[in-house]
Amino acid sequence: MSANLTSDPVRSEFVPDASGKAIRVDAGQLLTIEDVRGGQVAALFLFAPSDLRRFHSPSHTRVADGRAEIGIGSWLYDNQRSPMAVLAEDTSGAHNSLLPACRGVAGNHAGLLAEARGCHENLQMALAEYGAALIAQPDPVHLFQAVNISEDGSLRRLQPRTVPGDHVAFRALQPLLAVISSCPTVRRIPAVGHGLRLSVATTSVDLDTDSRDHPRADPTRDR
Amino acid sequence: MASSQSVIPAGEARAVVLHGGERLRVIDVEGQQVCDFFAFVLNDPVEHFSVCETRGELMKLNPHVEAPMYSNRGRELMFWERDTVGVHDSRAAACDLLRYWSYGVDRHRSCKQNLIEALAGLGVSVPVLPDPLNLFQNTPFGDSVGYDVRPSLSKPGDYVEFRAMVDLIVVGSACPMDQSPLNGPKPTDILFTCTRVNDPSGGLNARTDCP
Repeated sequence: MSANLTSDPVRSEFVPDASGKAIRVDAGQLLTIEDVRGGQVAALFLFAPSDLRRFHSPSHTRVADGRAEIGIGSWLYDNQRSPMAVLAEDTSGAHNSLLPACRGVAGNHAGLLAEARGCHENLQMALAEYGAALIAQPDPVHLFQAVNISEDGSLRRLQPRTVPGDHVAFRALQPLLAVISSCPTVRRIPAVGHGLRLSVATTSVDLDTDSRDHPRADPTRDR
Repeated sequence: MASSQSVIPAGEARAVVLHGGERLRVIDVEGQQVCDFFAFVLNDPVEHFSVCETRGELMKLNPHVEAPMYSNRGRELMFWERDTVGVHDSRAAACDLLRYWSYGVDRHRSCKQNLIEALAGLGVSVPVLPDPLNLFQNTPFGDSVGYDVRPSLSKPGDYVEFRAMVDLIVVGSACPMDQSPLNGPKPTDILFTCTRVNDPSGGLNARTDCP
């Protein structure tokens, strides 16, 4: 299908440092998450807007995709095994879906954060700001941060190596409510431009375009 | 020491109540059988054993022996005490009907359906089902596309043992997957054994809720 792709955002949000934002993505639209200054980790959650019991599930995506982590061309599935989105663009190539959303100082066992809010709290606040309520905490995809797995199974977060403008873009296969949290844990790791911001924009593709109706299609073909 | 047993027939699940301080042994009776394992806080089943949360607390790929098992609220629910196999999976979702559709099979039992029914049998329902700990499952994930389903490595009688730290509902599903080598030649039974250590009644208060 030849896509009638426009690059003008129909919707955009700015995610301030150590906060979260919810943004609606319609089927066929492209959700772009950009690391504006580099070195920032983004926790990504995708919900079905009509039912927040349905959300992106890394465990379902892993079985369908087969790879240890998502990459270009990965289909993301929800906890009902329904396809939600496709990873269409990725200038980073380093993500992880192994770790849970971090919690602020009140609820964090491992003492990971000195912050009042982690991605867990950012998710709740972003949904509340949007007018929705969290039913169950999904497992996030941590964009721009790879995790090293040792022989003995030990996990180690790797420092984000993103530069300004690095981004991922997901093509929505169904209506989505995306929530992106600017993860504050990266502040513990020295990084270029850490503790920074993400921008989210959507573009629109006409899914109903039939290639035969394209202006450049062969006019002599049967319709 | 009071103990009781619950046979989980091949392809089915059972839910049992496990009180704080009690031990649960999950036994692979005939070997090479995956058991999808779940645990819920008895008086508040929205709080459940979370594989992902445990991964983050331990900073290890899988929950493992000689370590706590954490809930979705970061609380220690169980302690993993013994493991005779050492190969399990914590990254794959429970099988459901759609999984069997991908094999071209229309009707089939699944661990997801098993879990729903086992909880319903105790009068429990939760808004969202947690991911399982796939005991005895041997399915590494790599860099190439394609979920590598290998036969389980467990031998007859192999087991894991957990000690409950709070009152729980534990559920085991003897995975019905028979479209891949996951469960060896065919699905077989799993056995739950609940043990109450330091029973001051000397066995008079024998467990009756581990059927």
